[in-house]
Amino acid sequence: MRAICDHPARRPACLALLIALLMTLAAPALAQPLLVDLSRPRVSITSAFRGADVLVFGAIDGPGDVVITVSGASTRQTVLRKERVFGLWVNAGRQAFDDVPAYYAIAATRPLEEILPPGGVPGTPVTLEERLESVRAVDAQRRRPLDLTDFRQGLVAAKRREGLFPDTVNTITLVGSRLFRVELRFPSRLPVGDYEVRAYVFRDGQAVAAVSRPLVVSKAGFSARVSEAAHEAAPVYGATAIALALAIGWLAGVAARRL
Amino acid sequence: MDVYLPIAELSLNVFLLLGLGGVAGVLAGMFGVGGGFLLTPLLIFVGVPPAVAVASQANQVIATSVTGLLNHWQRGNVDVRMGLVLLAGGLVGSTAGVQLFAVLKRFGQIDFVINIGYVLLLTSIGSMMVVESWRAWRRRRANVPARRKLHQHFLVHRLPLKVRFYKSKLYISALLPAGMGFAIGVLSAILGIGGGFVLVPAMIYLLGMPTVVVVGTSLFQILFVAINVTFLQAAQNQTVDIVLALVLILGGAIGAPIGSRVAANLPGFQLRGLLALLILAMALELMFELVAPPTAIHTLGDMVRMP
Repeated sequence: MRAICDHPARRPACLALLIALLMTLAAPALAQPLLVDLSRPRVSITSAFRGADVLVFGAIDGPGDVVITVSGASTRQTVLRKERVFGLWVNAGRQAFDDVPAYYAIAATRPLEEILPPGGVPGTPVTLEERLESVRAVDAQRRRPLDLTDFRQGLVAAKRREGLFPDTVNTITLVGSRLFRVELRFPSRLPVGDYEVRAYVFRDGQAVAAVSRPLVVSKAGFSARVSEAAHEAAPVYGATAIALALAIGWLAGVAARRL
Repeated sequence: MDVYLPIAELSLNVFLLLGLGGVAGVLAGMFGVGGGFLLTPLLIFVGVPPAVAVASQANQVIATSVTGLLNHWQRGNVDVRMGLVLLAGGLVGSTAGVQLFAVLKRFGQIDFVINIGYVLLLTSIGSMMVVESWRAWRRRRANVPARRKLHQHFLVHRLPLKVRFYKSKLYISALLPAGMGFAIGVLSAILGIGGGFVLVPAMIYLLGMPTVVVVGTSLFQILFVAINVTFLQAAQNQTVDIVLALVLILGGAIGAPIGSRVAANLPGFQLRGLLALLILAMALELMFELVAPPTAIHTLGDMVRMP
């Protein structure tokens, strides 16, 4: 089913089939309060990669709102800060942070402030601010708190600019208050790693169900092999790069003289 | 049409990259320089990480310099002995440069060093060339025969380790060309340039080499230094993007014959003046980036996956 649904031309037909299938399943009360799946378990970064769409779909048992968070691998991210030194702007400041998600996006059936109680639900981080509460500055004692806040805001702003913390919340479509689906758009500059797609059902400001699905983002095909060779057989890779450049340069020289 | 660059880890338009390579190729054909001084800052500008831009650029320089070298070799315009002395310095310099590059990258200062390095280099070389071609233009207008070269022999002649360079008709200390090779080697590792536009004037004005053998001999040194830099960057820093380099090389192969055809129809001083203006324009643009308040104070540095 996944393979068929990945094909863009067959997607509408395939979706209809899926929904029909889920409908029959959902008609009697669901055995589980929340079912979730992805149109594909893996985002492959190939030579022609320009970003990717992943369909997240599922069914809920009873009324409620669905919220989906997509979180990239946890990373140690360094933030650089330009400062003016002798009239020139230099990257003079740097601060590392631990547990920064490589990517973070949210989708919901309604605006988050209508679903979540003010201040969020304890133990269930949903918004970017809540997710980033666990982010810790490395060697924090060496900096003034005000300085750390500045770097922290800079981190979020820089990630936003790169499209890695999208600030719009995607809208999840509910069908018959039972089935839901949302198409998640991933940017072309997507860090590789193990992602986690988490779906929650909120009812009266309480999380009543939660399900998590893994999503692997990895290089595939030619670009995977190139990157693998560059890291695992570095000297051979270097020699190949040199040989190719020599050969093309030589050929170009010969061709230019013939013309 | 986009192509994903597996080491730079981003997608860029193929035609944009071919165009950039083509511009470098036109420059190579017109002026006999690799065009790296233009390409590296432009690649960084379109989003390629500086480390990848510099290393892949070295890979591209191999192709342009082998094309040029073949041409000069067949005409016998390469002083191999001088080339080897330059190269000895160049290999040591570029090896040191690659290490320095890794250290600067660790401290997050590589962007700044690349930027300021380009500004200083391009401004000084560009202004020297403007002055030189303006003088040549005045001489031509006044119809005065060219003055004898004013280079001084004192330093070159006092240093030890004198070597006879037959093809260049020089009897000078090997230390000076080796030192020059070293300096160009460091520059080429850090800035991703071949160094032709620095090396050629230095060989003419500092060493007093005859103009005929200068370009061929500099290409000889540039080729082997670029090979060394590419290998070290690939083996140590894993920053050579073979896909990026290949697209640039292909663009360059198309651009180079166009450049040499344009060059054939322009007098030398005009050509040098044009190159000088181009170099100065690039220096100004980079200077502006250093002085003007940045649009974003914070940028992302290294990202390491946590266990």
